[in-house]
Amino acid sequence: MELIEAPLVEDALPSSEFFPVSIDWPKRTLSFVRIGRETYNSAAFLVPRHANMGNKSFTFNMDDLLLHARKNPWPTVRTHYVLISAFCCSTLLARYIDELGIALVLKEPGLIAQLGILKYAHSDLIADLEPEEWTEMVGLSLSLMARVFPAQSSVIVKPSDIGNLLAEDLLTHDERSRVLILSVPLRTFILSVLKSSGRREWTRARAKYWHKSVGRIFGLQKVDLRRMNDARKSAYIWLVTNCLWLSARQGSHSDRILIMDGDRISSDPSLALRELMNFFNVEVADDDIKRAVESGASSHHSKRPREEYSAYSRSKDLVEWERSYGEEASEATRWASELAASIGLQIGDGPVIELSQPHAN
Amino acid sequence: MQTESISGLRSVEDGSSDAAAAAAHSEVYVEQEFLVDRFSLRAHFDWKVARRSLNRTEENADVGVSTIFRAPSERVFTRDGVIEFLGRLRKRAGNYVPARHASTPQVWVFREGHHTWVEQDASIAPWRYMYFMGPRMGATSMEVAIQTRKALLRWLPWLTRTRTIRIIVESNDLVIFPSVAVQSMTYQPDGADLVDQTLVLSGWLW
Repeated sequence: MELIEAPLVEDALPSSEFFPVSIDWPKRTLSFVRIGRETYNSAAFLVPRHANMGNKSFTFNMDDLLLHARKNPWPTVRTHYVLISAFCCSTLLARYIDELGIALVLKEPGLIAQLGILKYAHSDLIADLEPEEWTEMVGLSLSLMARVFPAQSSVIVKPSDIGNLLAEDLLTHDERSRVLILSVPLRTFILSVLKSSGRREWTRARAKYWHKSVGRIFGLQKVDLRRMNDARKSAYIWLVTNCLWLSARQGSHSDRILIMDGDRISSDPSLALRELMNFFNVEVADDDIKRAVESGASSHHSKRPREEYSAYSRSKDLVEWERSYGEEASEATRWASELAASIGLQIGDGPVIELSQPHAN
Repeated sequence: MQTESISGLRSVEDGSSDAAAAAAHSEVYVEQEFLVDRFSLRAHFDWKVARRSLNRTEENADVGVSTIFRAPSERVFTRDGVIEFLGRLRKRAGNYVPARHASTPQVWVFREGHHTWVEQDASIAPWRYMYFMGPRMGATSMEVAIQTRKALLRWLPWLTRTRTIRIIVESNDLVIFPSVAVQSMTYQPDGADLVDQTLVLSGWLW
């Protein structure tokens, strides 16, 4: 007699085929989908809405998972993270790492974003959620992100920009983990937004979300989004994202953080990959890096692989965006610099805000 | 032996003259009428059993207890009923013991007779629960004994005092007790089919 409707906890937890996709805190459940290695490789976003993850999900009582994790912890490998500003060539980077074949790459897993949202939510979503329970959930979820397929020895997770809410938690969860902060200078970010109506729309929604969830925490509560154009809104997002990285950059784990300008992934991928792999302590031969950067990933659009797109196309685009939106970007940059100064920060020309050096008296 | 009714316990019997104090000391808690709508969860079970043609009981003996049916509840119940059960369990358990987590219960139907549980492991979680769910038309009543043992002196761990709390449980009763306790029960099946039996749902609390 066949009783099986869903996998048992002990079968699902150690296997990376069962990928966690969503938490329902009021019900205290965690849902998984069953996906193969090829889905990990092909999906630009590991969320059911954007990837073919089958039509079945398996939901478990979260306490069963916690109990099993306590009794039978599964083997976890070293996990590194790529934290992103958005529009910083991170998908291209993930594709290159996929090509290298040295690690399991998790692109924008929805669960990390969800944990970030739960951390700062002020609603029924988190009724009764005690800080230690949230920490338990993070521990469980990140351990689930550290499972691999045979012959893989590390995981590289590239959360969506919402994952920046967990910047410090990612570093404290496992001392072996390292974090790459991949971002672009403010001006590049603004231009990248203004060039497309889809991105403008995304920016409006994201600015609203950041303002509601963390604006007050960073002293930005007086910002009035209703009076801001898209350029300023994009500058606001860039500034908030940098604020989210600040505590990790200034904290005791800062030696496990590397900052990189996303333009390098497009303009000089070999050198950028070499630097990153060295930082992650992952052994890769130069020939393999060469093979990866000469693959289809470098000549096609990362999120729309059917479209041809290269470093040359990107630099041409940047010139075009500058011509069309340069003035607007300049105004928004000045506005953002003043806003940053009002909370004691300084925006320079780099991909992240500058950290003030201690004064020598 | 003395038997008396105390708050929260339908019936208690132990070797001391103060059964209430004994229950408190032994950290055994009973909540009556635990589920507001217990028949809904029971109906889920009966429906699944009928749908899967599981109605004939099958005997097996594991973990030292003879059962005619044993299954992880996710294989028997529809999910929402169990989620609701667990939600209430977490809330109510917090009134008695420092616990906010509850594992999904296993579902047991026992053979007729006396059973002593041997599946104690306090290293997993400090508390266990048992919930009794009788059939819609039947009247459940069975005796459950929870035996706890405590060291009298920290430096003489072999010097212990054993207490046994005997409870007459009925359908819709929840019992919470320490994981180190030894549980036993006298089970009287009612008819030959699964849908006629009292189900015992048991799991961990921490």
